[in-house]
Amino acid sequence: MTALSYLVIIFGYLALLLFIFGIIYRAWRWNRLPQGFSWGLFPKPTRWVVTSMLWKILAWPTLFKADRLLWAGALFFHLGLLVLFAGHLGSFIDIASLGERIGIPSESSYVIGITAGTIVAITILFYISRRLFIRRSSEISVFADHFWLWVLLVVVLVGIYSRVFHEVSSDAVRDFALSVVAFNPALPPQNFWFLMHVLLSEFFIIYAVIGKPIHLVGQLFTQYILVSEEGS
Amino acid sequence: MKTDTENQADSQAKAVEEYEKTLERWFGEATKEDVQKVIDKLGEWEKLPYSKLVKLNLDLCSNCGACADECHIYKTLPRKEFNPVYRVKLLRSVYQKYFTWVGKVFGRFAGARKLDKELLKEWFVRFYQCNMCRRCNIFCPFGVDNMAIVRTGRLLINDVMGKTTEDMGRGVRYHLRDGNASEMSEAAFRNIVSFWEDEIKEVKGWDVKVPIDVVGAEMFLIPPNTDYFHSLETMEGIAATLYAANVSWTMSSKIFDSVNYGTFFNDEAWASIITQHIEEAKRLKCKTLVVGECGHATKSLMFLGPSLLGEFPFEVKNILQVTADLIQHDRIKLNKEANPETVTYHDPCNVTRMCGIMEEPRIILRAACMDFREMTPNRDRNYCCGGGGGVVLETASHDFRMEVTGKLKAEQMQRTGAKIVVTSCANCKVEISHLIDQYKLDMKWAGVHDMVLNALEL
Amino acid sequence: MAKATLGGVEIEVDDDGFIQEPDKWNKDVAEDIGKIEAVLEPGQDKMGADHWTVVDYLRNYFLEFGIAPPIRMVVKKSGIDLKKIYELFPKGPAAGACKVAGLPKPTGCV
Repeated sequence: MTALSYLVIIFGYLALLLFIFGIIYRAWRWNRLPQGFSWGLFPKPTRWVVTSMLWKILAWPTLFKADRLLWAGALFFHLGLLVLFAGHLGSFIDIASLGERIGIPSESSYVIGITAGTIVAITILFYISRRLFIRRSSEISVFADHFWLWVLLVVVLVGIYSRVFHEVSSDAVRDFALSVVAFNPALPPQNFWFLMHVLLSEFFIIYAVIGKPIHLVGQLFTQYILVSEEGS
Repeated sequence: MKTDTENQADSQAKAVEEYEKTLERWFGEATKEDVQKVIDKLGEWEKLPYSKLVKLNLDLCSNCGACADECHIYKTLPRKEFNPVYRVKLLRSVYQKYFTWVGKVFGRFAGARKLDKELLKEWFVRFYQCNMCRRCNIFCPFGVDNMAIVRTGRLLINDVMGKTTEDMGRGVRYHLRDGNASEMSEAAFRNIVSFWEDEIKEVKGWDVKVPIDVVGAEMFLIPPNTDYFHSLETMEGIAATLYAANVSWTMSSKIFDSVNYGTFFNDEAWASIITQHIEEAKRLKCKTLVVGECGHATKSLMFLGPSLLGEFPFEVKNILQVTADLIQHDRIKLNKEANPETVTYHDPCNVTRMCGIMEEPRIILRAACMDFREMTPNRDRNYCCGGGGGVVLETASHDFRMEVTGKLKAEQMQRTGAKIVVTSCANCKVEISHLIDQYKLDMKWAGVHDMVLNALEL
Repeated sequence: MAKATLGGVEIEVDDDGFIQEPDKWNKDVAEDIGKIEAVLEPGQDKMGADHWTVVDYLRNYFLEFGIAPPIRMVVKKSGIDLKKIYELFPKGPAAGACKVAGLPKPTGCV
């Protein structure tokens, strides 16, 4: 168990480092490349440029027109992730009392977390089956496309499993997380499933920077090229 | 006995196979050195003036396939090779193999692929099967651009091996030599111009004189070579419109062809042809360079030219914008009754998706025709006619265009029930005229200004 | 580039059968191309007066201006309408008539 604990801590710092600097590096690389041609697409918004970009990035109106099922799946997937992300902030700050202030009783965190996790797991299965059974997607999918879906699926399932059967108190998690952030790492809660969940998540975070999940950041650049009047 | 569907599938397969063979023949064989040079050149991709778009496509596309069903080619013939993602992955996988550490380390698992002679040949075939219409781009949730990759692939092959498709390559050679893509001399130009004038006289009874080489005229007009051979009414309509509105305009006896096939495969040729246009416009001291009914030339001169060569000392407009403006300012009089038939409009990719000229043709057609009807989908969502990306220029691509790339367009045109399909791009006009013949559609094709010519009154 | 024997002379032709050496063109060459392009029925070896009207017009225009004339100009100036041209030259004015008249292949969106 201690070896695993050390791995969690080491990978934690690595993930944090790679995540921050990786994203900065990739955004910097994109940004410095020339886009001399104005190769946007019409119709371009004449005003509300930022709003229209945000609309495209957050609501994916074009995907809605192209593939409604994928749009719906992706929407649930990303909303689920968003909820999970918010919930995991609880590892660093006391969101239970924050939640209560806006009317979410702290007892419901369990239900919300499990529901969001299940939704994400189901939508990942949807993604995977799309890649397996829908021809236009299966014929172009490579190992890497499947790989990160499976990693994320395992992360989520282990997370749900540890929450349901081997729950670690949120105070213990927070103590550990804050000690890591303070560069004075304490020993994490000694719970195998919890540690596996953290380790796999760290692995996923590292992968996210080099793999396709980077589209969250990359989109800002493509959408800007599409709406901008000049080359950027 | 075979069913109709089976017969159709057979003839489609045959058309595809034949054109692929032709493309392979044009490509010939690559040597090991060619392959290495392409890889080296790909390593310098950052020097491309649009490398940001290229890099973003390479990094972001997650092979979801959402664009596939929006591609008119894949929709018609859902083969793996026609999947837009498959197409661009031909290049992306090579880029991953040599220039990303993920590809270097994980190889095939990450989708990386070694470039060899056969793959390079496939690049040529697949990249020249694409119409570069950018419809897939509109539907991509990440906003990545497949056309940028297709063009990069064509560019690399052309830079290293000098290869392109036959007629397009010849058109560029002629253009660089003669200032136009059709081997026209000044005498030939003047002869056809006077034929336009005769025809206007015949249908309108007006003595329209096309001004040539008038220095200081407000507008300098360059139509595509099609208007000299294939759609003469279009240019007659334009000349008559400018005459009726008493606009100060001119053509040039030297530079009278707007087309620029370099747009589709070679940056250098592209820039020198644009430069021919610019230098002539400067010599004539025009205020506005007006491009005739031609899609890729409008895009080249309006957007790409200025970003490549610096701001022009004049404005660039498409003739549709000029005429729509004349109508809105009551400078010409149109009598709708001259065009009683049902008319529909095909939005050319370059005019619409790339230049945003969507409402102008509709303003003109509503003013000039009794019954204007939209086809669906339309405007920026319209399907390519099947001739885009220079595919229509090849005589050898005829069956491929008829059976595969243009089929959806033929069905779409037929569904409107219109008697005339109007469009504003030379490329589309040729393709649509072939489609009407091939599918025996009960309709005619025309340019926007063909309709104006009929309806124009003094 | 392939060679073909037309009208008893060896002439270079391109992939689509357009002759590449316009100087070698003569009436026998034209009629031999006509056989290939289904202008002449099997067994027939002379073209009729209407054929020659079109071919001569194209040929003379090409010699004067170096290009093929617009189709409409051919129709107007030769007095033979488009339908008739397609009857005379089943492959149409460009791939049929121009080829017989020994013109190079038209280039561009034409």
